[in-house]
Amino acid sequence: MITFIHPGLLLLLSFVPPLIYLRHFWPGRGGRFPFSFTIWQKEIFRPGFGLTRILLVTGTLAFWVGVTLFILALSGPELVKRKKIYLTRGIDIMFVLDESPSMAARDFSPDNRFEAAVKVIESFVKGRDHDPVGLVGFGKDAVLEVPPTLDYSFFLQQLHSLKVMELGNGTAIGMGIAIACLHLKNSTAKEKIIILLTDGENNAGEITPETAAEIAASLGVKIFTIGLGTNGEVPLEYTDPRTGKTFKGMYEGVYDAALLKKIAESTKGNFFSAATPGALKNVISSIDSLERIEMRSRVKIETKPVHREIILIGFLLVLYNFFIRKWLLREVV
Amino acid sequence: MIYYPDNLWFLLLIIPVSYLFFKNFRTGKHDLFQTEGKWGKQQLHDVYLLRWFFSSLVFILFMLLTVFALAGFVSKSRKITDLPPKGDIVFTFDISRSMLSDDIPPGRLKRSLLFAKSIMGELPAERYGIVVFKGRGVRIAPVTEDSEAVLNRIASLSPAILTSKGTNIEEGVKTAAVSFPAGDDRRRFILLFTDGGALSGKLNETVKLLKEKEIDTIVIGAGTIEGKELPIRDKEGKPVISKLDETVLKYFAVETGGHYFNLADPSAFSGVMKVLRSEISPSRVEVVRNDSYLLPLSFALVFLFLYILIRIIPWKSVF
Repeated sequence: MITFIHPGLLLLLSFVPPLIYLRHFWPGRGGRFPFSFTIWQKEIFRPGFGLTRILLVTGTLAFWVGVTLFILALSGPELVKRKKIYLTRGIDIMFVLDESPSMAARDFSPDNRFEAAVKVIESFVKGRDHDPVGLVGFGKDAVLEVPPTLDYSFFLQQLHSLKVMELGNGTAIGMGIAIACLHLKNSTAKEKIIILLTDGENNAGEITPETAAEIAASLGVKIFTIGLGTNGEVPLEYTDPRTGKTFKGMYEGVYDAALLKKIAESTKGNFFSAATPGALKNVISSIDSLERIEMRSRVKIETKPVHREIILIGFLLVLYNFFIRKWLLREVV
Repeated sequence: MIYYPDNLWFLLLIIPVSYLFFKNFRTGKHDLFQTEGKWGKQQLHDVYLLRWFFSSLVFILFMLLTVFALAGFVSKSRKITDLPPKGDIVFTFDISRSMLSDDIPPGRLKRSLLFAKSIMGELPAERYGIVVFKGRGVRIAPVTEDSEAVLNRIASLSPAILTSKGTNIEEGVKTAAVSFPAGDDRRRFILLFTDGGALSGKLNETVKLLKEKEIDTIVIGAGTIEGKELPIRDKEGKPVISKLDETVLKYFAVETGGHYFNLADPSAFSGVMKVLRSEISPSRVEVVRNDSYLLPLSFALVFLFLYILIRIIPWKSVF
């Protein structure tokens, strides 16, 4: 939106039409040697309808547009931008995502479990406004992929770069939670949550999930656990990022619902089960609506003066007219 | 003081404009003699001269004042104290191979990393991010409160983490400039660590971007002016000597309204801390320069109107 610092000066625009009339149409106007002798074609003292006329007309138009722009620039035009400034600190949200090979099981048609999880995390993050989000991946080992940040583009970039089996063959749930807790420890957020997405039983890592949950509880971190997958045999296909070999087969295995429930309850969180893409979306939506705090914000008005650009264009238009008349058409006065 | 001194180059346009005024005056005078002969009225020539003089004068004055308006003179300053006492700092490290030089112990890059760590130790409440650059810039850590994560990333930095060649400062600073999260009213800083050697990229574009985004820059030059031989050879097999190019770095710091420090200078750390503390402090005083364009532009418009009027008014019925 454009506003003017001195809108009253726009009244000067009312002088433009009378000036145009006086300059170009008033019969009593003076100073008329407005043509070049070089274009006198013996019989009539007027330019032809070719290039000369085009130059004259465009030059005249440019001149008056230039004058108008000068008046606009004098009125102090500014581009106004509204910027939302949050006055309250959002919730810190850490996703702890299972990257073990079983996450490649294709029971979340058309995606596998891992792809479905990535999709819902992405939609969750895009729906948040000012809550720092972080990401921990785990397989046999756990690693911090993204520390809690408001830089959602960086988060999503890292999220999409994750691959199944990148962190080895195993499911170190406890390590994943512990790493997330470590990076939430010094957070100044009033609320901190971990959203754990896994499809297997804890079978790796030096820290048990129970111990990790205790650490989380002591730090005031809530854990929401989501068990992914269905019972029975499921086709599985993944490529080991280290060797490049593709593995195909049938997989049968379920997550440890009792453990996930225990982790959630001990930290005042919730356990959810998601066997289909729709169910997973609903679960994420539930967590999204549960974990919202009232955000206070104010709107900061930022203005950017644009008079300089307008003056420059006006100036060039007036000069364009000048050079056409004085240089090309050789107007003398 | 002038905001945009580059615009003063437009004053050179007055030369061709004046030339055209004079040239056309002579042509017109010649044509008048051709038309009227030597028996022509003197009054006609006087009016022609007067019209030409005032018409040229007001147009040149119009040009002069328009250029002054474009250049933007600073008229007064204002002080603001009500600013948020928080800051986001993005460390921007040049990780080109020249940063491996050990002309300052324990090495340019290592010393830069230690410097950054020390700043984090002194200002633990701020948010930090990391960008590294060679031929292109990459965000290594987003701006975060999690200083643990940032420290871990700092510890892992080396020229080996990025394969692109060169030292493109524009890429590095642009990547850093877009790393600051929206929705906050914090002060924004880029701490640029580089030796300034063989820099590429458009510095002026970068300066413009930083000004637009209101990002403060602190440039820290790593290395010595004398330089030292690097443990690599060029294409012809000759040893490569890398030197600190302070000229370009100082220029960059001045143009962005920032500060320059030499990493080898023992007072550099206290200098940087002083700048950061004074900028982040809630009682910070900021001098805001007001661009005074209104007065020259008003007069420019008056002269433009006069230019139009001179051409409209019938001068004693002779023109």
